[in-house]
Amino acid sequence: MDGWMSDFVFCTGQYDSGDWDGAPDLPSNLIDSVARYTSIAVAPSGATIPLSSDAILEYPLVYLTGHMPFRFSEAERRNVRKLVDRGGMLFIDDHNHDIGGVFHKTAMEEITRTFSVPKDLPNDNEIYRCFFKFGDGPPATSHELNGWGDNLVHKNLQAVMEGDRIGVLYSSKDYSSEWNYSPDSKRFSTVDNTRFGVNIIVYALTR
Amino acid sequence: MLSRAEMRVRLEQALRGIVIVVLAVMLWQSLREQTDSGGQLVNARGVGGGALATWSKMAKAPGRIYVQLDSAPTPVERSWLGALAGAGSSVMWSGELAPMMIDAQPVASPAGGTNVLVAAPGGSSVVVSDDVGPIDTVRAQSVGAMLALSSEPDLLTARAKGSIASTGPRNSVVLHKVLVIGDAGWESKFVVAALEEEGWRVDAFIRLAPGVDVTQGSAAPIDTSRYSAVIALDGAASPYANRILEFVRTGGGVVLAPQAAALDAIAPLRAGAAGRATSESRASQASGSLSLATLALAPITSLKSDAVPVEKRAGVTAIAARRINAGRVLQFGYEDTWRWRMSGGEGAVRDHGIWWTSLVSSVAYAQRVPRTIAKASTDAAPTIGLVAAIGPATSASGLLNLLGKRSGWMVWLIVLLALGLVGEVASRRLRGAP
Repeated sequence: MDGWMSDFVFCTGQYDSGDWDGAPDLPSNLIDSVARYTSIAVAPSGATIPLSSDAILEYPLVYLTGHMPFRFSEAERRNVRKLVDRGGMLFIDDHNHDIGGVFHKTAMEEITRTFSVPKDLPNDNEIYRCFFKFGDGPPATSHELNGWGDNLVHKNLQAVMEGDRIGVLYSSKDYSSEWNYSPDSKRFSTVDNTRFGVNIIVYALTR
Repeated sequence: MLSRAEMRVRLEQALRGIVIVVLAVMLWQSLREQTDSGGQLVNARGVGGGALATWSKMAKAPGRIYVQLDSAPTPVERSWLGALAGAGSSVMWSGELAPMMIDAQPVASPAGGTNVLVAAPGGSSVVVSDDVGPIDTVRAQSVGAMLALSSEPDLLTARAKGSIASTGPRNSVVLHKVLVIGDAGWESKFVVAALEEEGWRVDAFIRLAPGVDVTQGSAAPIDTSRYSAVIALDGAASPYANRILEFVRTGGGVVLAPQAAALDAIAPLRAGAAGRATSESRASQASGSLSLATLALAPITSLKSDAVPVEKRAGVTAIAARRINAGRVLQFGYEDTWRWRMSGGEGAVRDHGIWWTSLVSSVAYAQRVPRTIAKASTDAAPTIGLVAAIGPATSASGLLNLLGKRSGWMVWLIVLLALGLVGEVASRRLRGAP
């Protein structure tokens, strides 16, 4: 709607270290899902914003992914800390699906250094039922089921809580691969596998 | 026809008559003062030092009591002066007493606080104190000053130009929840967060999809037994418009964001038409650290006749308010206030929360519970109390005029008496009579 309130813009965070742009089709896919299932006013295109820019604070939900070693610069660290402190949320997904991989190890170190040690998120958390219902917790990805990466099906996501809400959500499940396809291809799926992505966005917008 | 000698004798008799009449008038005047006013004029500076008791214990109450005051008498002293006036004494006063008044109202906010209003002469320096000591000094504007305290002291005093007024909040307030109605989005999320951080208990109806709402708290009926205020953010409020209108009519408070104010269903509530933010307004928001002053503003136009502008920015109305029966509506034109919280300066989160609290507090229905305060210890309007007890001040010149009239009257009588005596004696002597 052209008017008073701005639409929700899906934001991919750009960081200096590693590769941040490994899932270029994921934003449009999730935007399509949000528009398809909800009445949330969503911008048709996502935004890619450097974490070191103050402009990142205009996007209270920021998605980060990568395969390579992950390090925050000081400006990036300051901004993501401020974003979460002020009520925003980071969603970080390991594109390797490998808990022994370099992204996982370095990302966990960075999250711990910047926020605190991530803990397993209980599978009855609000994020699993705020729109679609996921009774068993985070949905498994085809990469997990096919034994790629660390050959594990991760039972939980990890999170850093800010009070009773999620400040940082960390996934080892490689949703970045799972959701990285053109929205047009959804018609070939019996169940839309991006539904959990809708939950992440709804959670961020309402909690 | 009388001869010249006989006429002279008649004149002497007339002069004697005048002298006797003047003496009689003076005697009567003297007796009347004794009878009517006790005769005594008391002229005192202030009413302290047992003066009131002295006047009250006199065998005959003073006829006139004139006191020159440097400060307003206490409530007891005022009542005492009033009693003397009631007992027959004519009580007058003069003095340059600052017309002071103080009022304290509890703030309808979870954080509590007190709004202090002081009426004092413009430009005067007003010292506001609680029962511990001075809190602040404020400069009175044209008619007074206002002070917002975060505390709720039992006793507040204001001093200016020698006058002291004191009061204490007479009521406490009981607040209910706030209901936020909006679409799922950053504005609804951060409005709820801001209010909760400021201590409000918040229910929320957040529209997610057709037929799908996220409800925070219980989905209770919208009435003043459950909610102090409703915040309508956008089109999600449309289905609730009739209930919100009824809520306001029964005393509830409503805050309307621009997108909600533009709804046809909300038209009976709004203070004015919701305009659109200008491109300049949006541009100012896009650059640098945000504040309330740089948020995009959709001006409120075509104010209803009973609406009042509360805040203006660059000549346009940013916030307006109106009453509807027992309730209040506050409409604002700032867009996407969440941007201020996220992209503002260091204190932006708190400032955003305080601002939202101030909006809600200004309209919130708050049940009043009387507080027990020692009334004898407060004196909210001492000068007004003095006027109510013994009347307005008599100026010093007025009093002198009063006394001067009586003196002049007596002087003329004495002159007349002297002329009569001299004339009568001279006439007799000149004609050789004894």
